[in-house]
Amino acid sequence: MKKTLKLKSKFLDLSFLFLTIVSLSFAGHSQTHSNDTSTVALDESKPAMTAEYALSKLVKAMEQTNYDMSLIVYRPGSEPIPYVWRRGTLDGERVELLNELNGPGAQIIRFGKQVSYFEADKPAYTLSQEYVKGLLPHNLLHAPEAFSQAYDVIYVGRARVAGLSTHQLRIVSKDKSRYSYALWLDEASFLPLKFSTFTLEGELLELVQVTHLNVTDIAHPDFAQVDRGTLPPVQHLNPSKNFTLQWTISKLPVGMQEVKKRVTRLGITGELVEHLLLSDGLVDVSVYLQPSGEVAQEDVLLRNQSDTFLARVKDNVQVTVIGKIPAQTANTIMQYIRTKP
Amino acid sequence: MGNKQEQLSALVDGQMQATDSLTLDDVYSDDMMLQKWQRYHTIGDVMRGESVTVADNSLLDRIADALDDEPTVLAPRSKRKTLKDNVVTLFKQSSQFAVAAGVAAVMILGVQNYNQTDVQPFMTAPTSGPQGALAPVSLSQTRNIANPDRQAVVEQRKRINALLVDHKQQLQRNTVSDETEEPEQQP
Repeated sequence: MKKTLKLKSKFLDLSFLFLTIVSLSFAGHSQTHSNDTSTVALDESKPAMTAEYALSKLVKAMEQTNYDMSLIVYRPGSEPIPYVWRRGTLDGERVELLNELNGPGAQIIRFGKQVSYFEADKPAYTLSQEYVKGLLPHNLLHAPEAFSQAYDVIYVGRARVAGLSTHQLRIVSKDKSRYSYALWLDEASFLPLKFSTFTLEGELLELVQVTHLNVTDIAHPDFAQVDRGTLPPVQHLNPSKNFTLQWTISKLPVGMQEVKKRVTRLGITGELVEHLLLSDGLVDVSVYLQPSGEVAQEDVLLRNQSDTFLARVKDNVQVTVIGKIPAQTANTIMQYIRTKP
Repeated sequence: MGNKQEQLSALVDGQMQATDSLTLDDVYSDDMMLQKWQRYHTIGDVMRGESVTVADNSLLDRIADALDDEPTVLAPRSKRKTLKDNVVTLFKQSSQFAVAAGVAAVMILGVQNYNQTDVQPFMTAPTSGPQGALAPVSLSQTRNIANPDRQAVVEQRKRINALLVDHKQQLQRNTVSDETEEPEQQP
C-alpha cells in the first residue's frame, strides 16, 4: 500500500500509473513464458490488437521511421554486446547504421542498396545489397508472410519494455521443431524493443534488448555528413551458379524450403564442398557434404553464438548441418538426406 | 617599441591618453604594427565571446593540409566530432589486424556431447604435455581417445571454422542484389 501511495505522488497521471502497475504484473508473466492470455484484455475501447496488424505496423515503421536506438545482444554464457542502430530517410532513400560498440567493433552503413562494411580484421568494402543482415531476422521486420508457412504468430498482450508500453508477440514453429521467439513492439512507434530466442526447453538462447529509443522527424544528422564519394567502392560478386546436386533432403521441417545449391571451395581450407541452403523464412540452415578425408571420425556437436553445428561422418562422407535450430532438428534434417534416384 | 605596443593596445581598447603619440597613420604605415593591430582585435573579439572571422587563412590552410595527409575513410563535411571518428579508428585498427585477416574469426563458445557414448577430442584444447607419458589415471574417459591423431584433430577444428565462416558468409551474401545485369558478364 505504501508503495502505491508513493507511486501516486510520483506520477500524477493516473492512467500512466495504471499502465505501470499492469505492465509490472505482465513483466512477471513474460518471465515465465506463460501462454496464459486470460489477463490480456485491458482497454475495451480500443479494437482488439492482432498479431497480423502489429506485424504490418512493424513493417511500415521499419520502412518509414527515422530512429536512433541503443541496444544490447546478450547470449547466456557470454558477454553482452552493445550496439547503436539507426535508420532514416535521407534524400528519398533509406539509410542505416549498425555499429558494434565493444572491442575492435564492426560498423555497417547502408545508403539505399549500397552497404559498406568496416570490420577490424579486413579492409573495408561495399556490397550492392537489398538489405543489411542485422540483429533481427530480416523477414521478421520486412516480410512476415515469408515465414507464415512455418510459424504461428500469437498476440500475447501488453508489457513494459525499455520504459515504454509495448505489444508482445510470440512466434512458434508449427511443428515445434525450431526455436521460439518473443517480440515486443513499442505501442507508439511499433519499432522492436525486445526480441528473445528460446530453446525448445524454454531456456533463453539470445536476447536483443533496446535500452534507448529516439524517434525523430528527420534522419540522424550523421548520415548527411558522410561523404559518399569516400566510401569503399562496390565489390561485384560473381553471380552464384545454380548447381544440381546428386542428393536431396526427402523430408524437411514444416515450412522449410531449399533456397540455394552450390558447389564451392571453403575459403579457409580450400576443401571442395557441396552446399544446400535451406530457409523457413526466419532462420537459414546450411547442409554441407564433403569427403571426410583424414579428419577425425567422431560426431561433432557444438554451438557457435546461437548457431548449432552438427557434423557426422558416414561412409567417408562428412555431413554438416549449421543453423539457428535445435540439435534434434539438425539431426532430423541430416537423417533425411537421400541420394537422388 | 615596448611603449609603442602599449600605445597600440590602448588604441585598440579605445583608451588612448592625451600624451600618447601613436596615430592610426603610424599603424597603417608599419606592417608589423598592422598585423599586431589585427591580432589584438581578434583576441579582443574572442575574449568578448563574439564570432571571429579569421582574415588570415594561412592557419586554416595548414590545418586543411594536415587533414589531407590523414588516412581518412569518410570525409565529413563539418568539423563536428561524429561518425567519421569511429570509422577512422576502425580503419587504423584494420591495418593493425590485417596480418590476422586470413585466420578464421570464429570462436567456439559452447560444446556439448550429442551422442553420449562418443568422446569428442576436439572439445578440449590440444594437450600441451608430452603424449603418453604419465597420463592422469583418473581421466579414464580420455583413454577412449588414447593417441588421437592430433593432426586430424587440428584439421577438424580448421574444417569446423571453415564451414561456420562459409555459412555466415552465405547468409550475408544471400542478400546481395541479383547481379546478372552486370556489364562485365560475357554473353
